[in-house]
Amino acid sequence: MKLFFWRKKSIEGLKTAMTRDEILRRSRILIVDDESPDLIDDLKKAHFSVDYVKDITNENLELIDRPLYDLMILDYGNVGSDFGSDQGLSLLKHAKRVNPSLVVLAYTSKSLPSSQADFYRMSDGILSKDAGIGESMEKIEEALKKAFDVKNLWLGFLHAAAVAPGSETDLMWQNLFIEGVSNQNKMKKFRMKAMGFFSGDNSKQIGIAILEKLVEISLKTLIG
Amino acid sequence: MISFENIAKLSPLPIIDLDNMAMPNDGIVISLNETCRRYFKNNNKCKEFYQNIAHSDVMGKIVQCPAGFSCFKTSLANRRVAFIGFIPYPRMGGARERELAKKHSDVKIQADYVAKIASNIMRTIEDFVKIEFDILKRNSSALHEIRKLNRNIKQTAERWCRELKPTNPDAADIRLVKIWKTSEIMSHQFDVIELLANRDLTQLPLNSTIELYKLIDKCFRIYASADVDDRMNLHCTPGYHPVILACDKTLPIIPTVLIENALKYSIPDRAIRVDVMQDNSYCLVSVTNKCYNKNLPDKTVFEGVRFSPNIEGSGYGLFLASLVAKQHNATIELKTRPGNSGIANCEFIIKFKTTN
Repeated sequence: MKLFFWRKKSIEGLKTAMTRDEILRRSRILIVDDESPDLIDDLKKAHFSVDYVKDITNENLELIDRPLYDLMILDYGNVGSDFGSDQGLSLLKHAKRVNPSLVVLAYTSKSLPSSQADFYRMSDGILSKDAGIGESMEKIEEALKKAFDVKNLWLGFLHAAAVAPGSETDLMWQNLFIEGVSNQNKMKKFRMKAMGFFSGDNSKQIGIAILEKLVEISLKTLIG
Repeated sequence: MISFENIAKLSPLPIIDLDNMAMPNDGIVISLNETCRRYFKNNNKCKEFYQNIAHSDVMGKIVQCPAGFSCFKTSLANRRVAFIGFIPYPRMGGARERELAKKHSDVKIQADYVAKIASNIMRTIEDFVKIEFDILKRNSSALHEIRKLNRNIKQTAERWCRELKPTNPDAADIRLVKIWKTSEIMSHQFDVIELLANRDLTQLPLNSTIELYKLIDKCFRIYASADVDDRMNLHCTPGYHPVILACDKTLPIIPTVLIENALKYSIPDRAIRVDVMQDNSYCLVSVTNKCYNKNLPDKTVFEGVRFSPNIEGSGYGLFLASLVAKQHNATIELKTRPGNSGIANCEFIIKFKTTN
């Protein structure tokens, strides 16, 4: 008698094979810092698409509440006062709550007290303000790779669809998505089903944007 | 980190370091008596007794030693120590103790007073640590402003080098490169000071991946520019690109401290070698230098103790590097080999678990 082992397909086994140029062409970076850093010019010279704001307030909230950016480079001091008393940390908490797939680099060279160390913990990486130019570019490219990583986008997608990671629904959807990677018709079906899953205006917008990105990236995805 | 020597300076009774067994220190009120000193020097039973005390569950208790004196095991500043060479009152009992009590009336002490001594020393150490941290924190905010100025120098110099030599900025005008690399060294010094003031940074998660060789190469290049005698060599297994999970805020401190120390302690005309090697799923980074026998470090260098008072430095570098290594689930091993000609070999090996 033959024994058949059926293994559930998992997002963990997927790898995005996007080139540096593709990532550079598709990505958008937002810098939030009360003092305009020279890094903006360095990034522009290196052909990154970068926008800069002094702060995120209730007036320009759509910059992070909508999925416009792939990476936010966030200062700690003198920003985010509309979100709480913890400056950059309050803003980071809000950004991660509404759009967890947004990759955030903590951009400071300040020595933060232990009560504020969550600013480092919750971010996706640390870019010291006094890092060298070459080093900064490398870290930013690394962060953008994460922004286009299937696993990171999947977590954002689950969050927008209010599905718990590791749940039955998550595993079922992972299966559908992975089948779609090698079969475009199945990917269309997955997309249609997923579209109807989002509720609430904001999470719908973010969810659809992440979903579009996932579908687009699936063309560049390899099953490992 | 308070050294055992500093703890001993606060102790009224003779005291022994149970983690690093050596001749006990005198107390500031009661000196180590000759009987104890002789026993410790000539009698292995004495050393064995304290080795057993180190590992047995007698914390906060008075125990009689083979010579007939008593000892009291306690923990001060995260170190296991024991007050020794006293006779408690009321006595523990035994003919030997009775005889010693007659002979050494100056070492008699009320039994419950020993625990009070320990807690008084502990409180003094805590106050000392608080003051030390407070000073470091104030310094840290002041240094932030200097750090900003250094950032301007560093980034301007680097931009200029990149404009002059876009494909190889390290090969730009040597004077400009010198400014750039010197300010890089300054940045690393600020990182060390920051970590000293805020050791919680070693609790941060490892949420980045770092190509270890790239980092070592970067640190190597920075310090190579400061090495006027051109003694530094970097070697790596060909085609080896180790990647590790890391905290990018703290990891650079390890290679920085080790390379800087090698430069500082090395004999002027002797080579300093940095190796990056594969050991199955681990990456070994080794920093080797030659130094004079008298400057040869021992394992206390990881405890924030200065081992060579003739050479400038805080003594905290390797202590911080060991904290960062622990954060990265890595280990730092020290291998030393004194030489006959007065010149010794000193090697630090760090072992990182790789993800690739």
